[in-house]
Amino acid sequence: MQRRVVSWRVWRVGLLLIVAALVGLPASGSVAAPARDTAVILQGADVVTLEPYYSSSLPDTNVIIHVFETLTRFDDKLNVVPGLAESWRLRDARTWEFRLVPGRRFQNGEPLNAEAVRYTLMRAKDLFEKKQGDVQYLYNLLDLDTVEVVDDLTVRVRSKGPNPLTPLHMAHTQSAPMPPRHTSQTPLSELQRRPVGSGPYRVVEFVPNERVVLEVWAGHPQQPRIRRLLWRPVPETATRLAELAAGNADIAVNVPPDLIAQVERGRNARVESVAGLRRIIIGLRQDRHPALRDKRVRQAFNYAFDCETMMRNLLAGKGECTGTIVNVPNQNPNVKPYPYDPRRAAQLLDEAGWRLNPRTNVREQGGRALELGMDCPRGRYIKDAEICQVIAADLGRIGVKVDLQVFDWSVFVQKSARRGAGFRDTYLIGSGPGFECQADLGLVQKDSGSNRSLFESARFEALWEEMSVTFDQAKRRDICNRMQEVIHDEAPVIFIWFQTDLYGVSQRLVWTPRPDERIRLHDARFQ
Amino acid sequence: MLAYLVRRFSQMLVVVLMVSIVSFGLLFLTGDPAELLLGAGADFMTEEQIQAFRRARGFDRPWPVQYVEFLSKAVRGDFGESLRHYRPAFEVVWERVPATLQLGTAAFVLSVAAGVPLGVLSATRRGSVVDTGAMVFSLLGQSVPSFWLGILLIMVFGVYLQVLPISGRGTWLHVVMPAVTLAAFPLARNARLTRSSVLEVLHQEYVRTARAKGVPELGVVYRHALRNALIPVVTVIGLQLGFLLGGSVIVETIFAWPGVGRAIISAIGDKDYPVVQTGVTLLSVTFVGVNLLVDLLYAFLNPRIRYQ
Repeated sequence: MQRRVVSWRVWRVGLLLIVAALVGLPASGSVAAPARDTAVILQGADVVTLEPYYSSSLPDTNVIIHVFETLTRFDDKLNVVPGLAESWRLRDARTWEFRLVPGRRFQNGEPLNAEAVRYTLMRAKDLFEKKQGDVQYLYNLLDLDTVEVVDDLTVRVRSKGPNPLTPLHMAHTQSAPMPPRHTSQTPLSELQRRPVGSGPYRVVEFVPNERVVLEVWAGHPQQPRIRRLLWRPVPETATRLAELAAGNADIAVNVPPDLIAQVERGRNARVESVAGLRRIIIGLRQDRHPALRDKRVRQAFNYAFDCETMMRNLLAGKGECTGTIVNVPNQNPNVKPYPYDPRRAAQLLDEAGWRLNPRTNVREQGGRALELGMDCPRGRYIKDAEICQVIAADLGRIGVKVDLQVFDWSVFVQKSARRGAGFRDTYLIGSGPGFECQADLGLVQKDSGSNRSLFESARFEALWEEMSVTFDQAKRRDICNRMQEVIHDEAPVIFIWFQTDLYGVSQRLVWTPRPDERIRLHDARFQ
Repeated sequence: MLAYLVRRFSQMLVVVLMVSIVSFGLLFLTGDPAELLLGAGADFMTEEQIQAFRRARGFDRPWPVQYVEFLSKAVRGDFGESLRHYRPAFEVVWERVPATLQLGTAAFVLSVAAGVPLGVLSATRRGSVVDTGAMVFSLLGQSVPSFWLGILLIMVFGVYLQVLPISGRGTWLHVVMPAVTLAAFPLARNARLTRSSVLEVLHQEYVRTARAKGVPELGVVYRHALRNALIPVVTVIGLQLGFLLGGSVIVETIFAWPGVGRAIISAIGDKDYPVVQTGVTLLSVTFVGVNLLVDLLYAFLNPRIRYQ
């Protein structure tokens, strides 16, 4: 018979102690619920740096826009409106003059004047030319030559060539003025953790990989109603939604469409959606399969898939099919999405000479089959792999054989480098906005680094050249509309939709999301 | 004993050296290191500018020369600058070590403090309800995916009962769920291994002798049997310690725990290769170092080993 080593009494006592300990644990309301004056925002990645010239990541930018301000900014409708500059005017084709709001200071007391703007922009230009920092995107567009101080509140920004978009570029956080003395005397590590801007919030705590805490700065003319903002990285979607359900968070980013109902069933939160600016497209490379050089084939691909049904099933209806790559508010209202018409698709392919081989069920021309490779990321955009699967299947039904490969984003992004050198014939991508018509259309401009389709159209380039030297807004609008018509007709991509952004928001927070993915809480408040 | 120590240490160095070659080779296995580091920025550069970048970073030299330079810097803790954080890659990884140590240690203590006694209990009550229950519990612990267990704990204790914080790091309460999730598998394995090991030892003749001498059962198990039964368990526990201290990406991601594992995954996504190299090297040194300590402990427990 086995002898007992420890009596049952000891084990019962131990079990009781464990239960008592669990019951005695404080409710998480006392350890995890946010303070009444603090909004908690959960993002999908860490905030790494708060130095605007060393980051272009969204989690960083969402914090930066509360600490720094720019000469101009985008309002909720994405119109360019005054920021630190109360007005601006065109001096000549290369020069814009900005008049600053008087009496403004940085959070450390340094004056926010023309010299601060000059210092900051020239510092950024220096970083750009030395390939340091993370300013490639903006300063490639800005093509900055010099910055001239006219007087204490007037500054002139001169580009190397005509640039109608300079006021728009001044809304980018990588043009945000910084205090010259503080910036030049402070090590980068300190600038990244304890930045000094002119915004309504200042950084009071930065624990790397854990949290950033902002507090209202009393010296700002606009006093936000929420006193503190706590930003936390929570990479896992289920965990973010659990925090929201438990009442521990006020904003959780990237709610999956299939979990909207679950979030809204809880008492603590709702889902806010906004038509985003990220253009989800399938690029059609012009330098691979010869079929893709034929406009009729590209149009056929656009007719071949049912976007509306795909959106209803994959995005729970939260999306907007499109026939353009230009964002609001610059879309041409006459450019509509291609309708689902597989018969028209087949007809176009026949006209282009790609006839269906009844034995293989694949179209052929001159002995060459219409077989295409499609490269797709997984987990980067909403339902990205699923979109590719649906479209590949729809193309298969009209006789186009698609070999689909899905890659983790870290692998896919390497393929997208050097203008998509690693891509096969087609690829899915979600292109971020340019915030202006011409910038949006850079996706298909022949010299643009974003033009991974290597598309080129004489009609389009002529309009592009015209727009590059047109400063009148009404004329630019007209050219923009004509360019969208050309691109819609040329179909260099398969137009899919603009990705809808979904946020879980606590019931106590009064806030609506913006289409540009920026979480801006300057005007938010608690119920 | 000294000869044994020297031999084991030499083996450790060879392993670390081989890991350093793989770590260094990460930049080259996936293509042109210049284009990898430049990323999308290369789209806006001419070939001459990219070539100048290659020369500036030394990528145009033979790779053995580059490796020697990498190694000579790595032994001094210099892995270059993080491409995302703009500060030393070693610093980026090292600041996450306390969090990883905290979670790894908590999970380790839990897996040993609960797993070993559970195994002993099960062995001493073999065939009973307790034994069956313990083994079913162990089977579940080894079968349930950590991802699922973590989410389940969050739903029960974080959302419904609201007695524990769900994510992040702060008070000791924040460690509970991640540690339980991370400890589940090793706890279950420790219990099963301890049970089988104790059962085997309890049938030895010297144990029968101890009982015959009138030694209380508690003493028979814990003073006479357990030390021998623990020898294989210690080996496995040692390997587990290395694994736990190396960071668990899944648990760190679920609970937003700011550990080394999550740093490496983020760095891979950001193509921040200096941080990836640093993290891989640090984890391998940790793992190999812990294995060396375990082997020394093993030799202490079993004198026959140190005299071989």
